[in-house]
Amino acid sequence: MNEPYLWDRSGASDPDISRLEELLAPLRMAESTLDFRPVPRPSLLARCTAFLRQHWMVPVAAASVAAVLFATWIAMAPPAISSSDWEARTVSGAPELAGKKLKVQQLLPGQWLATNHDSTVHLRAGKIGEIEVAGDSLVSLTESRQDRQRLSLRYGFIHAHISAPPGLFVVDTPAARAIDLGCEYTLKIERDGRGELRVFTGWVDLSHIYRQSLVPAGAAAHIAADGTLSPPYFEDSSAVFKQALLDFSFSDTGSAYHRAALETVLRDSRQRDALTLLNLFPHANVEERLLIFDRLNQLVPAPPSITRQNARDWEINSMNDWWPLVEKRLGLSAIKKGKGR
Amino acid sequence: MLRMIDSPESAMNAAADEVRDLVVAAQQGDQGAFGELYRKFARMVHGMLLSRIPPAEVEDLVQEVFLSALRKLKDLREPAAFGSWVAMIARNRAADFYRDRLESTELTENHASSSPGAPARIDAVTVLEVIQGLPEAYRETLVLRLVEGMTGPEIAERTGLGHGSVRVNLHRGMELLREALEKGVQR
Repeated sequence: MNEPYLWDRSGASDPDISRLEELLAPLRMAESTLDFRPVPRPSLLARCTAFLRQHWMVPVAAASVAAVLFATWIAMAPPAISSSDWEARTVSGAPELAGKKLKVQQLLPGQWLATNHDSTVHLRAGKIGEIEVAGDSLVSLTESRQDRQRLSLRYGFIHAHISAPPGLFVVDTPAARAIDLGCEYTLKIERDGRGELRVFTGWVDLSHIYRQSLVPAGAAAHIAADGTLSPPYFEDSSAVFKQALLDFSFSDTGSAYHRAALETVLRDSRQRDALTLLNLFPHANVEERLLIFDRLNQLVPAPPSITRQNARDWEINSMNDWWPLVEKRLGLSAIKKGKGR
Repeated sequence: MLRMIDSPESAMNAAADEVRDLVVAAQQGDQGAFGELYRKFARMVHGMLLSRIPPAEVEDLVQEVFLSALRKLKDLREPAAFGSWVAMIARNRAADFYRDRLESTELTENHASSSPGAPARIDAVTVLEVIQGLPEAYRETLVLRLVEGMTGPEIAERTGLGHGSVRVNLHRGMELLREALEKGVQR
Protein backbone atom coordinates (compact mmCIF):
# COMPACT_ATOMS: atom_id res chain seq x y z
CA MET A 1 0.00 0.00 0.00
CA ASN A 2 1.35 3.44 -0.94
CA GLU A 3 0.97 5.32 2.37
CA PRO A 4 1.72 8.85 1.08
CA TYR A 5 -0.91 8.45 -1.63
CA LEU A 6 -3.46 7.13 0.84
CA TRP A 7 -2.74 10.03 3.18
CA ASP A 8 -2.80 13.03 0.87
CA ARG A 9 -2.48 11.71 -2.69
CA SER A 10 1.20 12.61 -2.81
CA GLY A 11 3.81 10.36 -4.42
CA ALA A 12 3.03 7.70 -6.98
CA SER A 13 -0.61 6.71 -7.11
CA ASP A 14 -1.58 3.36 -5.62
CA PRO A 15 -3.43 1.37 -8.34
CA ASP A 16 -5.81 -0.33 -5.87
CA ILE A 17 -6.70 2.91 -4.14
CA SER A 18 -7.10 4.70 -7.47
CA ARG A 19 -9.49 2.02 -8.70
CA LEU A 20 -11.55 2.25 -5.53
CA GLU A 21 -11.65 6.04 -5.83
CA GLU A 22 -12.85 5.80 -9.39
CA LEU A 23 -15.41 3.12 -8.60
CA LEU A 24 -16.83 5.04 -5.65
CA ALA A 25 -16.76 8.48 -7.30
CA PRO A 26 -20.42 8.30 -8.45
CA LEU A 27 -21.45 8.26 -4.77
CA ARG A 28 -19.59 11.50 -4.03
CA MET A 29 -21.61 14.55 -3.10
CA ALA A 30 -22.33 16.46 -6.30
CA GLU A 31 -20.86 19.94 -6.62
CA SER A 32 -24.31 21.15 -7.64
CA THR A 33 -25.68 20.30 -4.19
CA LEU A 34 -23.07 22.31 -2.32
CA ASP A 35 -25.53 25.16 -1.78
CA PHE A 36 -27.63 25.17 1.31
CA ARG A 37 -31.44 25.42 0.85
CA PRO A 38 -32.60 26.96 4.13
CA VAL A 39 -36.15 27.65 2.84
CA PRO A 40 -38.50 24.65 3.20
CA ARG A 41 -40.29 23.64 0.02
CA PRO A 42 -43.93 24.23 1.14
CA SER A 43 -43.46 27.99 0.67
CA LEU A 44 -43.07 27.41 -3.08
CA LEU A 45 -46.79 27.94 -3.84
CA ALA A 46 -46.88 31.25 -1.99
CA ARG A 47 -43.77 32.46 -3.78
CA CYS A 48 -45.18 31.40 -7.18
CA THR A 49 -48.45 33.25 -6.55
CA ALA A 50 -46.65 36.48 -5.69
CA PHE A 51 -44.40 36.10 -8.71
CA LEU A 52 -47.30 35.53 -11.12
CA ARG A 53 -49.10 38.64 -9.95
CA GLN A 54 -46.21 40.67 -11.32
CA HIS A 55 -45.31 38.55 -14.38
CA TRP A 56 -48.56 37.56 -16.13
CA MET A 57 -46.83 36.84 -19.47
CA VAL A 58 -44.77 34.07 -17.93
CA PRO A 59 -47.52 31.39 -17.89
CA VAL A 60 -48.09 31.79 -21.64
CA ALA A 61 -44.43 31.27 -22.46
CA ALA A 62 -44.14 28.54 -19.86
CA ALA A 63 -47.04 26.62 -21.41
CA SER A 64 -45.28 26.57 -24.78
CA VAL A 65 -42.00 25.42 -23.26
CA ALA A 66 -43.80 22.81 -21.17
CA ALA A 67 -45.46 21.35 -24.28
CA VAL A 68 -42.07 20.92 -25.94
CA LEU A 69 -40.50 19.47 -22.78
CA PHE A 70 -43.39 17.07 -22.28
CA ALA A 71 -43.09 15.77 -25.84
CA THR A 72 -39.33 15.34 -25.34
CA TRP A 73 -39.86 13.58 -22.03
CA ILE A 74 -42.36 11.20 -23.57
CA ALA A 75 -39.85 10.35 -26.28
CA MET A 76 -36.89 9.90 -23.91
CA ALA A 77 -38.35 8.56 -20.68
CA PRO A 78 -37.59 4.92 -19.81
CA PRO A 79 -40.52 2.58 -20.42
CA ALA A 80 -42.64 2.46 -17.29
CA ILE A 81 -42.29 -0.94 -15.62
CA SER A 82 -42.97 -2.29 -12.18
CA SER A 83 -42.63 -5.68 -10.56
CA SER A 84 -46.17 -6.56 -11.68
CA ASP A 85 -45.01 -6.37 -15.32
CA TRP A 86 -42.71 -9.39 -15.07
CA GLU A 87 -44.32 -12.53 -16.45
CA ALA A 88 -42.85 -16.03 -16.55
CA ARG A 89 -44.25 -18.55 -19.02
CA THR A 90 -43.28 -22.20 -19.46
CA VAL A 91 -42.03 -22.98 -22.94
CA SER A 92 -41.19 -26.63 -22.32
CA GLY A 93 -40.75 -29.12 -19.48
CA ALA A 94 -41.77 -28.51 -15.87
CA PRO A 95 -39.92 -25.54 -14.39
CA GLU A 96 -40.63 -24.29 -10.86
CA LEU A 97 -41.28 -20.77 -9.64
CA ALA A 98 -40.98 -20.22 -5.88
CA GLY A 99 -41.06 -23.98 -5.42
CA LYS A 100 -44.30 -24.53 -7.36
CA LYS A 101 -44.87 -25.82 -10.87
CA LEU A 102 -44.97 -22.93 -13.35
CA LYS A 103 -47.28 -22.40 -16.33
CA VAL A 104 -47.86 -18.67 -16.70
CA GLN A 105 -47.32 -16.52 -13.68
CA GLN A 106 -46.23 -13.12 -12.47
CA LEU A 107 -42.58 -13.06 -11.36
CA LEU A 108 -42.11 -11.15 -8.10
CA PRO A 109 -38.93 -9.75 -6.54
CA GLY A 110 -37.27 -12.35 -4.34
CA GLN A 111 -38.80 -15.37 -6.09
CA TRP A 112 -36.49 -17.98 -7.57
CA LEU A 113 -37.16 -19.65 -10.89
CA ALA A 114 -35.58 -23.07 -11.41
CA THR A 115 -35.46 -25.03 -14.66
CA ASN A 116 -34.33 -28.63 -14.92
CA HIS A 117 -32.46 -30.11 -17.85
CA ASP A 118 -35.48 -30.38 -20.17
CA SER A 119 -37.44 -27.24 -19.26
CA THR A 120 -37.23 -23.69 -20.62
CA VAL A 121 -38.98 -20.48 -19.60
CA HIS A 122 -39.82 -17.23 -21.37
CA LEU A 123 -39.62 -14.08 -19.22
CA ARG A 124 -41.31 -10.90 -20.41
CA ALA A 125 -40.33 -7.69 -18.64
CA GLY A 126 -43.03 -5.20 -19.65
CA LYS A 127 -41.83 -3.26 -22.65
CA ILE A 128 -38.13 -3.37 -21.79
CA GLY A 129 -37.39 -6.79 -23.19
CA GLU A 130 -37.61 -10.56 -23.15
CA ILE A 131 -35.36 -13.22 -21.69
CA GLU A 132 -35.21 -16.91 -22.54
CA VAL A 133 -34.11 -19.07 -19.61
CA ALA A 134 -32.64 -22.38 -20.74
CA GLY A 135 -32.59 -25.71 -18.88
CA ASP A 136 -30.59 -26.24 -15.67
CA SER A 137 -30.82 -22.59 -14.65
CA LEU A 138 -31.58 -20.77 -11.41
CA VAL A 139 -32.79 -17.18 -11.81
CA SER A 140 -34.29 -14.60 -9.49
CA LEU A 141 -35.78 -11.14 -9.94
CA THR A 142 -33.89 -9.25 -7.25
CA GLU A 143 -34.98 -5.68 -7.96
CA SER A 144 -37.76 -4.12 -10.00
CA ARG A 145 -38.05 -0.35 -10.05
CA GLN A 146 -38.91 2.00 -12.85
CA ASP A 147 -35.25 2.97 -13.21
CA ARG A 148 -33.68 -0.44 -12.56
CA GLN A 149 -34.52 -4.06 -13.30
CA ARG A 150 -32.14 -6.59 -11.81
CA LEU A 151 -31.97 -10.34 -12.29
CA SER A 152 -29.70 -12.76 -10.50
CA LEU A 153 -28.43 -15.70 -12.54
CA ARG A 154 -26.94 -18.16 -10.06
CA TYR A 155 -26.18 -20.65 -12.81
CA GLY A 156 -27.49 -21.66 -16.19
CA PHE A 157 -28.06 -19.86 -19.47
CA ILE A 158 -30.13 -16.85 -20.51
CA HIS A 159 -30.67 -15.13 -23.86
CA ALA A 160 -31.73 -11.51 -23.39
CA HIS A 161 -33.28 -9.14 -25.96
CA ILE A 162 -33.39 -5.73 -24.30
CA SER A 163 -34.73 -2.46 -25.69
CA ALA A 164 -34.52 -0.44 -22.48
CA PRO A 165 -32.35 2.66 -22.00
CA PRO A 166 -28.71 1.77 -21.23
CA GLY A 167 -28.01 0.79 -17.65
CA LEU A 168 -31.59 -0.10 -16.74
CA PHE A 169 -31.36 -3.87 -17.08
CA VAL A 170 -28.72 -5.63 -14.97
CA VAL A 171 -27.89 -9.30 -14.45
CA ASP A 172 -25.84 -10.31 -11.42
CA THR A 173 -23.91 -13.57 -11.45
CA PRO A 174 -21.90 -15.04 -8.57
CA ALA A 175 -18.69 -13.50 -9.90
CA ALA A 176 -19.68 -10.60 -12.16
CA ARG A 177 -22.36 -8.21 -13.27
CA ALA A 178 -23.64 -7.65 -16.82
CA ILE A 179 -25.13 -4.23 -17.48
CA ASP A 180 -27.13 -3.89 -20.65
CA LEU A 181 -26.19 -0.95 -22.85
CA GLY A 182 -29.01 -1.55 -25.35
CA CYS A 183 -28.54 -4.96 -26.88
CA GLU A 184 -29.05 -8.68 -27.33
CA TYR A 185 -26.74 -11.12 -25.57
CA THR A 186 -26.38 -14.54 -23.98
CA LEU A 187 -24.89 -15.29 -20.60
CA LYS A 188 -23.81 -18.76 -19.53
CA ILE A 189 -22.83 -19.33 -15.91
CA GLU A 190 -21.43 -22.54 -14.43
CA ARG A 191 -22.23 -23.62 -10.88
CA ASP A 192 -18.76 -22.53 -9.72
CA GLY A 193 -19.30 -18.99 -11.01
CA ARG A 194 -17.30 -19.25 -14.24
CA GLY A 195 -19.09 -17.86 -17.23
CA GLU A 196 -19.18 -16.59 -20.78
CA LEU A 197 -20.89 -13.54 -22.25
CA ARG A 198 -21.64 -13.29 -25.97
CA VAL A 199 -23.03 -10.07 -27.44
CA PHE A 200 -25.01 -9.92 -30.68
CA THR A 201 -26.10 -6.27 -30.84
CA GLY A 202 -25.11 -3.14 -28.89
CA TRP A 203 -22.71 -3.33 -25.93
CA VAL A 204 -22.65 -5.01 -22.53
CA ASP A 205 -20.65 -3.65 -19.60
CA LEU A 206 -19.30 -6.68 -17.77
CA SER A 207 -17.81 -5.80 -14.41
CA HIS A 208 -16.51 -7.18 -11.14
CA ILE A 209 -15.81 -4.68 -8.37
CA TYR A 210 -13.25 -2.48 -10.15
CA ARG A 211 -12.58 -4.81 -13.07
CA GLN A 212 -14.47 -4.08 -16.28
CA SER A 213 -14.80 -5.51 -19.77
CA LEU A 214 -16.87 -3.58 -22.31
CA VAL A 215 -18.09 -6.08 -24.87
CA PRO A 216 -19.45 -4.96 -28.26
CA ALA A 217 -21.61 -6.79 -30.79
CA GLY A 218 -19.81 -9.76 -32.33
CA ALA A 219 -17.57 -10.17 -29.30
CA ALA A 220 -17.46 -12.29 -26.16
CA ALA A 221 -15.75 -12.29 -22.78
CA HIS A 222 -15.09 -14.88 -20.10
CA ILE A 223 -15.60 -14.71 -16.35
CA ALA A 224 -13.37 -16.67 -13.95
CA ALA A 225 -14.77 -18.01 -10.70
CA ASP A 226 -12.82 -15.37 -8.73
CA GLY A 227 -14.30 -12.54 -10.81
CA THR A 228 -11.34 -12.03 -13.10
CA LEU A 229 -12.68 -10.98 -16.50
CA SER A 230 -11.09 -11.60 -19.86
CA PRO A 231 -10.86 -8.67 -22.24
CA PRO A 232 -13.52 -8.74 -24.96
CA TYR A 233 -12.51 -10.60 -28.11
CA PHE A 234 -14.21 -10.85 -31.48
CA GLU A 235 -15.60 -14.28 -32.13
CA ASP A 236 -14.11 -14.37 -35.62
CA SER A 237 -10.56 -14.12 -34.26
CA SER A 238 -8.34 -17.19 -34.61
CA ALA A 239 -8.64 -20.10 -32.20
CA VAL A 240 -4.97 -19.68 -31.28
CA PHE A 241 -5.53 -16.01 -30.49
CA LYS A 242 -8.57 -16.75 -28.32
CA GLN A 243 -6.89 -19.51 -26.34
CA ALA A 244 -3.76 -17.42 -25.77
CA LEU A 245 -5.92 -14.51 -24.65
CA LEU A 246 -7.65 -16.64 -22.02
CA ASP A 247 -4.30 -18.09 -20.90
CA PHE A 248 -2.97 -14.55 -20.53
CA SER A 249 -6.07 -13.23 -18.75
CA PHE A 250 -6.27 -15.97 -16.14
CA SER A 251 -2.59 -16.60 -15.35
CA ASP A 252 -0.25 -14.82 -12.93
CA THR A 253 1.16 -11.54 -14.20
CA GLY A 254 4.90 -11.77 -14.58
CA SER A 255 5.06 -15.54 -15.04
CA ALA A 256 6.77 -17.04 -18.10
CA TYR A 257 3.45 -18.65 -19.08
CA HIS A 258 1.72 -15.26 -18.94
CA ARG A 259 4.43 -13.64 -21.06
CA ALA A 260 4.37 -16.45 -23.66
CA ALA A 261 0.60 -16.18 -23.94
CA LEU A 262 0.86 -12.43 -24.46
CA GLU A 263 3.45 -12.87 -27.22
CA THR A 264 1.05 -15.24 -29.03
CA VAL A 265 -1.84 -12.80 -28.64
CA LEU A 266 0.22 -9.95 -30.06
CA ARG A 267 1.65 -12.04 -32.88
CA ASP A 268 -1.77 -13.33 -33.99
CA SER A 269 -3.66 -10.05 -33.60
CA ARG A 270 -5.37 -8.40 -36.55
CA GLN A 271 -6.46 -4.77 -36.77
CA ARG A 272 -9.92 -5.89 -35.65
CA ASP A 273 -8.33 -7.22 -32.46
CA ALA A 274 -7.19 -3.72 -31.47
CA LEU A 275 -10.13 -3.55 -29.07
CA THR A 276 -8.85 -6.63 -27.28
CA LEU A 277 -5.32 -5.23 -27.10
CA LEU A 278 -6.62 -1.96 -25.68
CA ASN A 279 -8.11 -3.97 -22.82
CA LEU A 280 -4.90 -5.88 -22.05
CA PHE A 281 -3.12 -3.10 -20.13
CA PRO A 282 -4.78 -3.79 -16.75
CA HIS A 283 -3.61 -7.43 -16.94
CA ALA A 284 0.04 -6.61 -17.72
CA ASN A 285 3.26 -5.58 -15.97
CA VAL A 286 5.48 -2.73 -17.17
CA GLU A 287 7.45 -4.73 -19.75
CA GLU A 288 4.30 -6.33 -21.10
CA ARG A 289 2.52 -2.98 -21.33
CA LEU A 290 5.27 -1.65 -23.60
CA LEU A 291 4.90 -4.68 -25.88
CA ILE A 292 1.14 -4.15 -26.00
CA PHE A 293 1.60 -0.45 -26.73
CA ASP A 294 3.94 -1.15 -29.65
CA ARG A 295 1.63 -3.71 -31.29
CA LEU A 296 -1.52 -1.67 -30.72
CA ASN A 297 0.24 1.39 -32.10
CA GLN A 298 0.91 -0.57 -35.32
CA LEU A 299 -2.75 -1.61 -35.62
CA VAL A 300 -4.35 1.74 -34.69
CA PRO A 301 -1.85 4.57 -34.18
CA ALA A 302 -2.02 6.16 -30.76
CA PRO A 303 -3.30 9.71 -30.39
CA PRO A 304 -0.64 12.36 -29.64
CA SER A 305 -1.77 12.45 -26.01
CA ILE A 306 -0.72 8.82 -25.41
CA THR A 307 2.96 7.83 -25.49
CA ARG A 308 5.03 4.80 -24.48
CA GLN A 309 5.66 6.59 -21.23
CA ASN A 310 1.89 6.53 -20.56
CA ALA A 311 1.94 2.78 -21.16
CA ARG A 312 4.87 2.41 -18.77
CA ASP A 313 3.14 4.51 -16.07
CA TRP A 314 -0.28 3.06 -16.84
CA GLU A 315 -3.25 4.06 -14.67
CA ILE A 316 -6.89 3.26 -15.11
CA ASN A 317 -7.63 6.24 -17.37
CA SER A 318 -4.32 6.41 -19.23
CA MET A 319 -5.65 4.97 -22.48
CA ASN A 320 -8.99 6.77 -22.61
CA ASP A 321 -8.07 8.90 -25.63
CA TRP A 322 -7.27 5.75 -27.63
CA TRP A 323 -10.79 4.35 -27.28
CA PRO A 324 -12.61 6.59 -29.81
CA LEU A 325 -9.88 5.98 -32.42
CA VAL A 326 -10.19 2.21 -32.03
CA GLU A 327 -13.98 2.34 -32.11
CA LYS A 328 -13.89 4.47 -35.26
CA ARG A 329 -11.29 2.28 -37.01
CA LEU A 330 -13.23 -0.86 -36.18
CA GLY A 331 -16.58 0.68 -37.14
CA LEU A 332 -18.05 0.03 -33.71
CA SER A 333 -21.17 1.80 -32.53
CA ALA A 334 -20.55 4.37 -29.81
CA ILE A 335 -21.03 3.12 -26.27
CA LYS A 336 -24.26 4.39 -24.80
CA LYS A 337 -23.86 5.82 -21.34
CA GLY A 338 -25.86 4.04 -18.67
CA LYS A 339 -27.45 5.43 -15.52
CA GLY A 340 -24.80 3.87 -13.32
CA ARG A 341 -25.52 1.02 -11.04
CA MET B 1 -5.53 39.37 5.97
CA LEU B 2 -2.54 37.23 4.97
CA ARG B 3 -1.78 34.29 7.25
CA MET B 4 1.64 32.68 7.10
CA ILE B 5 1.27 28.90 7.32
CA ASP B 6 4.42 26.91 8.05
CA SER B 7 3.24 23.65 9.70
CA PRO B 8 0.23 21.32 9.83
CA GLU B 9 -0.54 22.64 13.31
CA SER B 10 -0.57 26.27 12.22
CA ALA B 11 -2.68 25.35 9.18
CA MET B 12 -5.21 23.69 11.47
CA ASN B 13 -5.19 26.68 13.78
CA ALA B 14 -5.82 29.02 10.86
CA ALA B 15 -8.69 26.83 9.69
CA ALA B 16 -10.14 26.74 13.21
CA ASP B 17 -9.96 30.53 13.39
CA GLU B 18 -11.84 30.81 10.12
CA VAL B 19 -14.54 28.40 11.27
CA ARG B 20 -14.86 30.25 14.58
CA ASP B 21 -15.36 33.56 12.73
CA LEU B 22 -17.99 32.04 10.44
CA VAL B 23 -19.91 30.44 13.31
CA VAL B 24 -19.93 33.66 15.30
CA ALA B 25 -21.18 35.58 12.26
CA ALA B 26 -23.85 32.93 11.59
CA GLN B 27 -24.95 33.04 15.23
CA GLN B 28 -25.49 36.77 14.74
CA GLY B 29 -27.77 36.10 11.77
CA ASP B 30 -25.35 36.20 8.83
CA GLN B 31 -26.91 33.73 6.36
CA GLY B 32 -23.92 34.02 4.02
CA ALA B 33 -21.65 32.81 6.81
CA PHE B 34 -23.86 29.78 7.40
CA GLY B 35 -23.83 29.09 3.65
CA GLU B 36 -20.03 29.13 3.80
CA LEU B 37 -20.06 26.70 6.74
CA TYR B 38 -22.33 24.46 4.69
CA ARG B 39 -19.94 24.50 1.74
CA LYS B 40 -17.03 23.66 4.05
CA PHE B 41 -18.69 20.83 5.95
CA ALA B 42 -21.41 19.43 3.66
CA ARG B 43 -19.03 16.95 2.07
CA MET B 44 -17.96 15.66 5.48
CA VAL B 45 -21.59 15.27 6.60
CA HIS B 46 -22.43 13.58 3.30
CA GLY B 47 -19.59 11.11 3.83
CA MET B 48 -20.54 10.40 7.44
CA LEU B 49 -24.13 9.67 6.45
CA LEU B 50 -22.97 7.61 3.49
CA SER B 51 -20.91 5.45 5.84
CA ARG B 52 -24.14 4.49 7.61
CA ILE B 53 -27.23 4.69 5.39
CA PRO B 54 -28.25 3.87 1.79
CA PRO B 55 -26.93 6.36 -0.79
CA ALA B 56 -30.39 7.28 -2.09
CA GLU B 57 -31.35 8.69 1.30
CA VAL B 58 -28.22 10.71 1.96
CA GLU B 59 -28.79 13.94 0.05
CA ASP B 60 -32.04 14.82 1.79
CA LEU B 61 -30.57 13.96 5.18
CA VAL B 62 -27.61 16.30 4.57
CA GLN B 63 -30.12 19.13 4.23
CA GLU B 64 -31.93 17.98 7.37
CA VAL B 65 -28.70 17.88 9.37
CA PHE B 66 -27.85 21.45 8.41
CA LEU B 67 -31.41 22.67 9.03
CA SER B 68 -31.10 21.14 12.48
CA ALA B 69 -27.68 22.76 12.95
CA LEU B 70 -29.09 26.14 11.88
CA ARG B 71 -31.87 25.87 14.47
CA LYS B 72 -29.47 24.87 17.27
CA LEU B 73 -26.53 27.06 16.29
CA LYS B 74 -27.09 29.60 19.06
CA ASP B 75 -26.60 26.81 21.60
CA LEU B 76 -23.12 25.98 20.30
CA ARG B 77 -20.77 27.30 22.99
CA GLU B 78 -17.42 26.51 21.34
CA PRO B 79 -17.65 27.87 17.77
CA ALA B 80 -14.37 26.29 16.69
CA ALA B 81 -15.84 22.86 17.43
CA PHE B 82 -18.51 23.26 14.72
CA GLY B 83 -17.11 20.32 12.74
CA SER B 84 -17.32 17.73 15.51
CA TRP B 85 -20.69 19.19 16.59
CA VAL B 86 -22.31 18.90 13.16
CA ALA B 87 -20.74 15.43 12.81
CA MET B 88 -22.52 14.38 16.01
CA ILE B 89 -25.83 15.69 14.60
CA ALA B 90 -25.21 13.64 11.45
CA ARG B 91 -24.49 10.46 13.44
CA ASN B 92 -27.65 10.94 15.51
CA ARG B 93 -29.73 11.60 12.39
CA ALA B 94 -28.41 8.38 10.82
CA ALA B 95 -29.39 6.45 13.97
CA ASP B 96 -32.88 8.03 13.82
CA PHE B 97 -33.16 6.94 10.22
CA TYR B 98 -32.79 3.29 11.21
CA ARG B 99 -35.14 3.65 14.18
CA ASP B 100 -37.79 5.04 11.80
CA ARG B 101 -37.24 2.24 9.32
CA LEU B 102 -37.48 -0.49 11.93
CA GLU B 103 -41.22 0.12 12.09
CA SER B 104 -41.78 -0.03 8.33
CA THR B 105 -39.75 -2.96 6.97
CA GLU B 106 -40.68 -3.55 3.37
CA LEU B 107 -42.28 -6.79 2.20
CA THR B 108 -39.79 -7.15 -0.62
CA GLU B 109 -36.95 -7.38 1.89
CA ASN B 110 -38.64 -10.36 3.50
CA HIS B 111 -38.94 -12.01 0.11
CA ALA B 112 -35.28 -11.43 -0.59
CA SER B 113 -34.18 -12.91 2.71
CA SER B 114 -35.96 -16.15 1.85
CA SER B 115 -33.92 -16.65 -1.31
CA PRO B 116 -31.42 -19.51 -1.38
CA GLY B 117 -28.41 -17.36 -0.49
CA ALA B 118 -27.67 -14.18 -2.37
CA PRO B 119 -24.56 -14.32 -4.51
CA ALA B 120 -21.86 -11.66 -4.13
CA ARG B 121 -22.91 -8.41 -5.78
CA ILE B 122 -20.46 -5.97 -7.19
CA ASP B 123 -20.22 -2.25 -7.86
CA ALA B 124 -19.89 1.02 -5.97
CA VAL B 125 -22.87 0.27 -3.75
CA THR B 126 -21.48 -3.17 -2.95
CA VAL B 127 -18.09 -1.79 -1.96
CA LEU B 128 -19.89 0.85 0.10
CA GLU B 129 -21.85 -1.89 1.85
CA VAL B 130 -18.57 -3.62 2.67
CA ILE B 131 -17.21 -0.36 4.10
CA GLN B 132 -20.43 0.11 6.09
CA GLY B 133 -19.70 -3.24 7.72
CA LEU B 134 -16.35 -2.04 9.11
CA PRO B 135 -15.95 -0.51 12.58
CA GLU B 136 -17.25 3.05 12.81
CA ALA B 137 -13.92 4.87 13.02
CA TYR B 138 -12.62 3.17 9.89
CA ARG B 139 -15.76 3.42 7.79
CA GLU B 140 -16.16 7.17 8.30
CA THR B 141 -12.55 7.90 7.48
CA LEU B 142 -12.52 5.60 4.46
CA VAL B 143 -15.69 7.10 2.98
CA LEU B 144 -14.35 10.62 3.45
CA ARG B 145 -11.09 9.64 1.74
CA LEU B 146 -12.25 7.24 -1.01
CA VAL B 147 -15.71 8.60 -1.82
CA GLU B 148 -15.65 12.28 -0.93
CA GLY B 149 -12.07 12.71 -2.12
CA MET B 150 -10.83 14.44 1.04
CA THR B 151 -7.16 14.08 2.00
CA GLY B 152 -6.03 12.93 5.43
CA PRO B 153 -5.20 16.50 6.57
CA GLU B 154 -8.61 17.71 5.37
CA ILE B 155 -10.36 14.92 7.27
CA ALA B 156 -8.44 15.82 10.41
CA GLU B 157 -9.25 19.50 10.02
CA ARG B 158 -12.99 18.99 9.43
CA THR B 159 -13.67 16.26 11.97
CA GLY B 160 -11.40 17.58 14.71
CA LEU B 161 -9.51 14.28 14.89
CA GLY B 162 -5.73 14.33 15.23
CA HIS B 163 -3.53 13.59 12.22
CA GLY B 164 -2.27 10.43 13.93
CA SER B 165 -5.77 9.06 14.46
CA VAL B 166 -6.80 9.74 10.87
CA ARG B 167 -3.62 8.15 9.57
CA VAL B 168 -4.18 5.01 11.66
CA ASN B 169 -7.85 4.82 10.67
CA LEU B 170 -6.98 5.11 6.98
CA HIS B 171 -4.22 2.52 7.12
CA ARG B 172 -6.10 -0.03 9.21
CA GLY B 173 -9.38 0.67 7.39
CA MET B 174 -7.77 0.01 4.00
CA GLU B 175 -6.32 -3.25 5.28
CA LEU B 176 -9.71 -4.38 6.55
CA LEU B 177 -11.42 -3.27 3.34
CA ARG B 178 -8.98 -5.25 1.20
CA GLU B 179 -9.49 -8.33 3.36
CA ALA B 180 -13.28 -8.00 3.17
CA LEU B 181 -13.26 -7.50 -0.60
CA GLU B 182 -10.97 -10.49 -1.09
CA LYS B 183 -13.27 -12.64 1.05
CA GLY B 184 -16.16 -11.41 -1.10
CA VAL B 185 -14.32 -12.48 -4.23
CA GLN B 186 -13.55 -15.91 -2.83
CA ARG B 187 -17.13 -16.49 -1.64
